[in-house]
Order: sequence, then C-alpha cells, then structure tokens
Amino acid sequence: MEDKSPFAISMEGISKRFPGVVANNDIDFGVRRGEIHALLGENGAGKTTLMKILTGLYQPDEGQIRVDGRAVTVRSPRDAIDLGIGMVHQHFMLVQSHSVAENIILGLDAPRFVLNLGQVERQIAKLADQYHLQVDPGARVWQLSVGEQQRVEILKALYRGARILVLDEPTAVLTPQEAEELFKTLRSMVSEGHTVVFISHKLSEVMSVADRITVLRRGEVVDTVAASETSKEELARMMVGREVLFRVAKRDSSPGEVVLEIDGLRALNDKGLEALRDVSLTVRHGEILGVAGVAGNGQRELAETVVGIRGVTKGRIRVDGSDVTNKPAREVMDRGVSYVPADRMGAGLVTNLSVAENLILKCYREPPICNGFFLNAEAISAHAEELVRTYDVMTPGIQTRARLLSGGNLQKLILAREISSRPALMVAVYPTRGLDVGATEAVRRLLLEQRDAGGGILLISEDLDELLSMSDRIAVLYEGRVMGVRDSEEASVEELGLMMAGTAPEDEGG
Amino acid sequence: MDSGRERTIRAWPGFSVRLEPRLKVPRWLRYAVPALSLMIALILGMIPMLVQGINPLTGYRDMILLAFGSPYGISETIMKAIPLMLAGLGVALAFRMLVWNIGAEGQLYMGAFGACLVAYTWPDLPAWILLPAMIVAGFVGGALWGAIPGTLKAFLGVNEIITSLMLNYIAIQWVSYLVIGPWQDPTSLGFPRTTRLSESATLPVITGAWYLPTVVALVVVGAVLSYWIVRRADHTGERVKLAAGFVLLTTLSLGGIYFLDGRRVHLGFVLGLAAAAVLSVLLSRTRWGYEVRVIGENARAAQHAGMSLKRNIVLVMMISGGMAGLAGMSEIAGNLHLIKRMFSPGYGYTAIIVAWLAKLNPWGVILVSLLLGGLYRGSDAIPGAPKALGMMLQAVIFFVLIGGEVLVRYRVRWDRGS
Amino acid sequence: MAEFALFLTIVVSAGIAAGTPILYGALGEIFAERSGILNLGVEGMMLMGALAGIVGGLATDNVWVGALAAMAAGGLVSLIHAFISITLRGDQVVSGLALTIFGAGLSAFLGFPYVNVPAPKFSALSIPLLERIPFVGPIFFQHDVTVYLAFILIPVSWFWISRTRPGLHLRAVGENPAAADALGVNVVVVRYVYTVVGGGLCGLGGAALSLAYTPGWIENMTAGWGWIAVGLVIFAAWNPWRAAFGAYLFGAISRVVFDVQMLPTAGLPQLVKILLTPEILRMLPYAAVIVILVFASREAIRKRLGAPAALGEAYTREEAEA
Repeated sequence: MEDKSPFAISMEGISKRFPGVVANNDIDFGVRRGEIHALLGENGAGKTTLMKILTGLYQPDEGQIRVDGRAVTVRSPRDAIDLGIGMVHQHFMLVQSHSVAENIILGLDAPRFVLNLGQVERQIAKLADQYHLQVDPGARVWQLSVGEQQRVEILKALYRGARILVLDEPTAVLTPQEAEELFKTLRSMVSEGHTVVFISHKLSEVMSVADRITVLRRGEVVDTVAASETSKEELARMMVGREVLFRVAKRDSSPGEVVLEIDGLRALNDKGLEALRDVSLTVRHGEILGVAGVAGNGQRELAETVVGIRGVTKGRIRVDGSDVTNKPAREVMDRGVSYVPADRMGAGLVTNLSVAENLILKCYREPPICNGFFLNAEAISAHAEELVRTYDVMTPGIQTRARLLSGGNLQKLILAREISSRPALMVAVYPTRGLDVGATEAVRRLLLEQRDAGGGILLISEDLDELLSMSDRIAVLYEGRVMGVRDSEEASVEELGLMMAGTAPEDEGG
Repeated sequence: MDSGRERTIRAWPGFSVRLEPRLKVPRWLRYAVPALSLMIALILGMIPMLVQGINPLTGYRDMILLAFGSPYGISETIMKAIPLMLAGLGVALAFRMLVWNIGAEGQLYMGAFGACLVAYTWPDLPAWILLPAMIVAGFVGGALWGAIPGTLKAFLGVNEIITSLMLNYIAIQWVSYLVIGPWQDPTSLGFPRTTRLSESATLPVITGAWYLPTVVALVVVGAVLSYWIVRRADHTGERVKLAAGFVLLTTLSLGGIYFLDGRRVHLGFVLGLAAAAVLSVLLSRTRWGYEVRVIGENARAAQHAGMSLKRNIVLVMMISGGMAGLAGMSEIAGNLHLIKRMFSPGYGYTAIIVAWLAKLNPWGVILVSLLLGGLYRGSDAIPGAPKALGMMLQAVIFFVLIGGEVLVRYRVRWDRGS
Repeated sequence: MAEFALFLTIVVSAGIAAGTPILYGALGEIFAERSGILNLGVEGMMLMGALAGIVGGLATDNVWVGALAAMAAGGLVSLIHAFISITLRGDQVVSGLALTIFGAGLSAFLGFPYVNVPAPKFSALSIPLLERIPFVGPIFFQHDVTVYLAFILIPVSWFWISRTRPGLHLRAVGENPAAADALGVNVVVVRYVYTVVGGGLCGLGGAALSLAYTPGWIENMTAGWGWIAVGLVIFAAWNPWRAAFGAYLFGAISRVVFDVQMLPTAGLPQLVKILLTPEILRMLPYAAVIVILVFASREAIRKRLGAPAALGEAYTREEAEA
C-alpha cells in the first residue's frame, strides 16, 4: 500500500534556465492536500515559470515533480490535465469568437466527432451550479465581462476533473468585491477536497485567503510560512530583500491652471460598444490625477481619446484652453500632450530601431533634429547622449537596437523622450507594470518630478496603493462612467473599491 | 527577461532539435548564409534541369559565360538589369513600409503607356524636351496606377496584394488593346506591335559622345554625395562603407569603358543608379524616410507619434509605382523602341525577388538586379523553355534564402532524450 | 421571356463550370487560413496541379490517376510553405509569394514538352434522373465529375469546420493558438495538416482546369485565377457556402465576358465597340474582384466579420514571461 503523502504536489530541486537568465534555481515547493497555498513574489521572481513547469508548458532543466507522492513527468499540458492539475492563466486563454461551451470542451476527446453542444451546455450548467460559478454556456466569450471570463477558465479546469487548481494572478482584473467572490469560491472548492495554488504579488489578499505562503525572489525560494505566523511587513521584506517604504515621499502639491478639461465625453471601443459614458474630469498644472478602476472599464479608451488616437462621439476635450476634440494625434501632441502607453514594446517604442532613433520619435519634425527635409545626424546623437545620461538609461550605446534593453530601461527611455518634450499634460497608462522595484521607484520619481515642475499628469494604474501614494486626486472609472473623484488624502480603499465595483457614493445606505 | 522564443521539434523518438534565438548575430554568418543558400539553390536547381535532359554543369557554365563572359554579354546583362533595378527599388521601398506592392508589373506597363502617350502625341519635339517629358509621364503613369491599391488600402482597408495583382492583368490587357488597336503599326501584320518611336523619343546609349560626360557626371555626383554624407556620418563603420561605395562606383565607371563603349546600354542605367542614390538618402537621412521606416517597423508606435499612416501608404505606393513606371518607360524608350504585347518577361514579378534578396536595401537592389539580369540573359544559353528556366531558378533561390534567413537568426541545438 | 430564362440557365450553368477550379482553390485556402496559415501560393499550386494532372493522366492513360497526381503535387509543394511558415516561423506573405513564383516557374519549365499535347480528360457526365428537372436540372446536373465533387465538398467542408470536433480544433488553432496549445491541441500538426490539405485541394483545382474545364496544358494557364481564389476567401468571410457563391458568380462573369466577345459589333457606337474588344472585356473579371473586395472590406468593418484572429502570425509557445 503506497504511503499517501500529505503533499498533493511536491516540486524538488527544480531549475530552469533561459538564454541570459536563470528563471528558477533549485526550488523546493510543496503544496499540502486541501490547502490554499500562495506563491508570492515580485514580477520576474520566477513564479509563473515554476507553475508553467508544473502544468507542462515548460520542461525543467533539473528537478523532480511528485503528485500525491508519485514521481511524474509532465511533458505537455495534456499530461498535467491527466494528472488532475488545471491552470487558470493570468491572460485568459479563451477563443473570443467561440462560445463558452466550445471553449470548455476544446482539446477534449469527447464528443467523438460531431459536436453536440446542447448536451455539453447542460453539463456545464450543472457544474456551474455546483460551484456557484454563474455563466451562460451559450454566450460568446467576447460578450462576457472579465469576471465571467475567469469563471469560464475555472470551469474549463473543473470540467476536466482537475483536483488541483493553479491560478496565476487571478485578481489582477477583478474589483475588490469580485475578488472576495473568487476567494469564497476557492474556499468552497477546498472544502470539497480540491487543492488550490495561487500566484500573486499582492500582500493583502495573500494574507487574507492563503493557508501557507511561499515567497520567491530572483528565482529562488526565500521561505515557506503559514499565513497565521507572519505579517505583511515580513512578507514584503522577504519579497524584496530590504525594508520597503509603503508610501512614496511626496511634496505638497500646488496646482495651477487647468491643463486638461474633459466635458461630457462619449466614445466607442474597438467593438463598437460605448466605452466612455459622459465622462467629465479636470487636471491642473502641477497635479497628478489618478484614474482607478479595474482594467477594461474604459481606461484605455480614455487615454486614447485624450491623446488623439481615438475619436469621440460626443463631448469636448480642452488642453490649456484650446479645443482638441477629435483633432489628429499630431495636433494634440503639438499642444503639449504626451503619452506613455501601457504597451511599451508595442506602441511606445520601435524595437528594431536604435535608441537614438527612438528618442526622436516625438520631436523629429522640429529643428535642430530636422532641417526642412533632412535629419541632422549630429543633432540626433547629441540629443540622445544627453537624454541617456540625464535619465540614467543603461544601454551599451545610443546606436544599440532598442529591443536589447531591459523592461525598466525601456520605460525610462520612453519617459525620457516624453518628459524631455516638456509636455503640459502627460497621460501615463500602467507605467510601472512589469517593472522590478528599482525601476518602479525610478519611474515614480520621474513622474513626481514632472509634476513638481508644473506639468499635469493623468495617471492610469491598476495598483490602488500606487495611485493613493502618487496622486493628488483620484477618480474611479466603472463601465465608462466616473463614479467619483476624491482627494487622495481623504480617500479610503474601501470606498474606492466600492466605486470600482459600480456603487456610486450616494447609493450607500445610512 | 527578454529571452525570446524557443521551439522544440521532436525529430526522432529520443531526439529533439531546438531552435534557440541568437542573442548576437556573428558578422560572418550574415554573409556566409546567403552565399551558402545561393549554392544550395543552384544545386537544387539542377534537379529540374536533369529531368528535362539538360546537363546542369555545362548548363550553368554556358549560362555564366553568356551572361558575364564577354563584354557584349555583360552589356546585355545590364540591359536586362535596368528594368529590374528601377522596379526593384520601387518594390523595396514599398516593402519597407510593409505595403506589399505586387503590382510592379502592371505599373511598369502603365509607365510604358504614359511615356508612349507623350511620345506618340508629340513625336517631333526635340529630345531634350521630349525625353524628360517621357520620364515624367512614365513615372506618373506608374504612380497613378499604384495609387489605386494604395488608396483602397489606406482608406478602405482593402488587401493591397490582391488589388495590385488584379491591376497587373488589367494593365497588360490595356496595353495589348493599344498595341492591336489605336497604336498598331499598319505594316506589322503577323506580329502586332506599335509604330516605332521617333528619334527624339529614344533614351540615348551610353557610348561615344555620351560616355565620358556620363562617367564624369557620375563620379562628380558620387563624390559630392559621399563627401556630404561622410561629414554627417556618426561613426567609422559608416564612413568606411561610403568610401568603399564611392571607390566601387568609380572603378565601375572607369572599367565600364571597355564594356559599354559601342554597346546598347542606355541612360536608363544611370537613371537606375541615380534612383538608388536618391532612395538611399531618402530612407536614411530624411524625415520622410524616417517615417517610412518607423511605420514599417511598428505602425502603432508611428500612429502614437502622430505619423499619418494613410497619407504615407498612398505616397509610398505612388512612388513605388512611379519607379516601376520608370522601368517600363526605360525599357520602351531605351531598349525596344516600340511596344509589343507582353513586352515584359515578368520584370515586375522578378523585381519582388530582387527587392527581397537585396534585403530592401537600395544598393543591394542594384547588385542583385545585375545578378538576376545575368540569370535572364544566361537562360538564353539553354534550349528548351529558356524564360521558364530563369523563373524557376529565381524562385528556388528565393525559397532557399528565406529558409537560410532562419539560420541567421536562430541556433540549432540537438538534444538527446525527450 | 423564355429566351431570357434560357440565357440565365446557360449563364448559371457555365458559371458553375467555370467557377469550379476557383472554388477548389478557395476551399483549400479556407482550410489553410482557418488554421492560421496564410498561403498566397494558390496560383502556383494550381499550376503545379494542372501540370501534374496532365503528366499523370498521360503516363497512365487514366484521368483519375492524373487527378490524384494533381492533389499530391499541390500538397507536396504546400509542404514547403508549411515548413517555412510553421517550423521556421518565416514570413508567410513572402513565402507564399515565393511559392507562386516557384510553382509558376517550375510548371512552365517542366511543362514545356506538354504544351498542347492532348491528354485524357473528364468527360461530361449528366446525372440520369436529376438532369430532367426543369431549370435546376440542366444547370446543376450536366457537368463533369470535378463539378459534382465540388458540390459534395461544399457542405462537407462547412459541416467539418463548424460542426465537428476536429473542426473546432481547427478554428481554435486559427483564432487563439496559445489557448488551443494549453489545452493539448497540437497546433503544429493541425496547421501542417490543413495547409497540406489546402494545397491538395488547390492542386485538384488545377486538375479541374487541365483535365476538365480547359483540357490540356498551356504555360500559365490559370491566368491569375489562383489569386482570385485568395481574394474570394476574404469575400466569403471564410465560409464555404459564400465561397461557392462567389466562385460561381465569378465564373458566370468570365463566361459572359467570353460570350460577349463573339457578338457582332457592326452598328454600335464607337465607345461601345471599344468596350467590347476582347482585351477590354478581359479586364472585367479582374476589375470585378477589386470591386468585390471593396464591398467585402466595408461589410467586414460594419458587421465585425473578421479573419481568423491569428491568421498570418507564426506561433511559438511563449517563453518570454517568467
């Protein structure tokens, strides 16, 4: 009779290397049956890599995996599914144009040949009821909200008989209330005998829902502790390796004239549905207006309309008094608006061009960079040298191709380019996403310097802590509407969370 | 943590091959691989030749001799290379911006149409007025034809590959109509063709009186350009490249005395070289060239920088079409001096291969068009479907080179075990 | 009125006959593109198929062998494109173009001795009872086997793609290969299979030309029809039924153009005479494709009909995040 190990999963001595970097270094990781185990660490610590090894997407260079004590090799996602391990990815792996049912049965051997969706949909409905995961099996995925899409991902794993569920940053796209719902679901799953691993970098939620926590840093295990025996401060120290200041030192703001005035804005998203409904906001010189909200509630569209990349169906946008509604991007830029987009490798930079050529992306039309028809190579070099020095961008040279730089340096590059054009208004979308602690501090510092120098900043971020510490005022977007604007000194996470979930302040009882 | 992409292929049970992206591409590899690919392509090309009962080794030898083995051969190779150069430059420019101009063939025909329209309407104008007018008309003809797919793509999002291709067939039919209809030479009964162009509508040959002035002009212009560019170059590597280019140009020009004097090579050659110089400067040193490169690399970043995609798509298609139009014009005014149906043996399509092999670099286009011109010329050495042999070899080279590209970017690793 | 009905019958019937080769090309391309692989080499594969059909048919004096040879040729040639696009992750547009040029060149080169050589072909085969149905009979049931096969292929393709499990996998691979991969669908195999199947169908389309519709081999006999098939796929919104409609419509236009050339032009005004010259008329089908594409683009924007989301993008198991 096999000795039934208390560990549902045991990963021993796991190492994984990629060209130029060691993602996992001799990691020992164990998950007890029936517990909720959190894998905590900063971006780049190796959490996702470790879980991708567990679920068969990567192969470890060294080490052994055991499921219920038995040594196994997980060669592909199929193997993982056969072993009862299901993963819910951070970026959902759903086919948008297919229905929920089609997504759930994808890759399965049944039904054998002809799709009998009616029967499948009934089965899914039953499963959904059992776990309180309400979703319409016949709906097309693109029609669903983000929270509902996550439920589809979970159902996908459960439908395949997963006993062990791995969730990668599941609350990244949820409101605080939806996150609570998710945690309730996880707890009920655990009580039914499932085991849950979830990856996070958010200390508060890890403390509230996990039984045990493993902290990773730079590809290695720092420690595994029980949630009841540790504190947020201790976890943060383990994550980062030094004392972390939770609030950024910020000078008092002295806001000046209004730099951005948005009035009654309405705009459509890429699918032709309304993304912004009657949005009105102001930003002043020398202040940071933070925009909070779960991703997908109109933030991206807001940024794009202000910057001139997206058209507006109604309403006005004024920058320093002049109307820039629906004007082409170039004109809006000329009025002093600069854009730090969320997708830095995508829209912010041209990765195959050199650092110098990227730095002139905004000012290439003006002297001294441009003399009529021709570009002035000397001026371009001088410009680039200076910016690289001032903003401390680590690069082998200004002719180096941008794609060779690290994420933090790329972001510094973009900021260097944008700030150096001395914009009146800067629109920054998720500026510290994916950056390590050092780069994040540098970026925040630069933004605050920009604000102190008199620029206005529209800061859109998914990190409520960041918004609270950096912004002077915070607005909350929910389904394209501004639910409220608060001074950040007076705002509370609870109130903001409620607004993010759609409860307008006046609706609160009593 | 930019580690790139890994790809594992299970080649054999117990054995797998991995393609690992290279962090740095060694210099020698960049040149060795295309050369190696060329050799492999030539070897592969032997197979169909054998199937047809042709001895590939003597076949290749004869081809090379015919194309490059004699002064006359070289001059004929250059004659074939001229339309390839001009059209190839146009195609390369469009491809830089990821606008897939497959319509070079049709734009070439429309350029010929434009030029001949001018030439037949005013045949008696002096050459120094008529020729520039024909050049402009040729460019405009191709440019307008290219503007059609360009506008459709820019404003309606219609796929430019198919529209430009369809326009090829339409243009060829249009010119056919002119050849057997309004422009037909009444004395040409069996083989329809247009009346011969007037004396002044002829691109002069680079020979005799024209030779020395051309060489001098080329050398002077080249010197000025190089000096000016060298002054602005930001590092040694570029200076060396430019100096080398200038020396090469001078040698070619002077050495050309032997080859080109008394041959048929016409001013279209100079047009091609000049166009390459202009395009090269345009791409690397001008504002518009910068926009083209940025849009081609990352259209979204370009939009965020305020660049107008629509305007540039149309503009690029017009210039690209115009270059192909020049190719058509030069072929008629410099080589054929009249129009026959299907007068182009697929120059517009070969131009695509030229542009790609040249890695979209203007000077590369010149070099590759000379090579492929040699292929065209050399195909005459082998009896039995000469034109198709050239086409087939071109395509094999093209294919193998695309495959070879991968070797440059990735390292192959063998792993024992799963 | 009866004359017009007769005319309509002839036109539709001829449209079906002429459109069949293109339809094969379009169906083949639909399969490939649904899996996410853009194969612009349809013209080249059709030419190779056409030639292989003739060669195979002549060698064995059996049309069916010829047809099989055509499919094999198309499939083999598309294997090259599949290798470059899938395994080597090369640029699919360029590879497809190379394929066309290669197919055209190789077929022209190898086909030289076969030009205008009479070869076995599929003869007309009227279906006994069905052909007597008024109207419908002569239109649909007086063709040859290649046409009938296409009739069967249309609903089979549609059913396969939208109502079967393998079809679900096909669609998923073309829309979101990462999702399919994570669930154990072998993206590489699926893409290879459908690219080669697509190539085989294109080859068959070539055979439908050289062994049925315009029997014999002439260099470049497809005259751009392979490209029209590619355009048709966009117009068809990747749906086999719409592709059939488009192909037959195009066939009808070609046929009308051909017939109009025969009309006497004696008393007509000069402009009309010009419009009726063969060269000008021959422009019409190609121009029609452009017009169709313009409409398709506008419709696509309006109805949010999209190409398979991952079309033309090489897939790698992403290993960039940590």
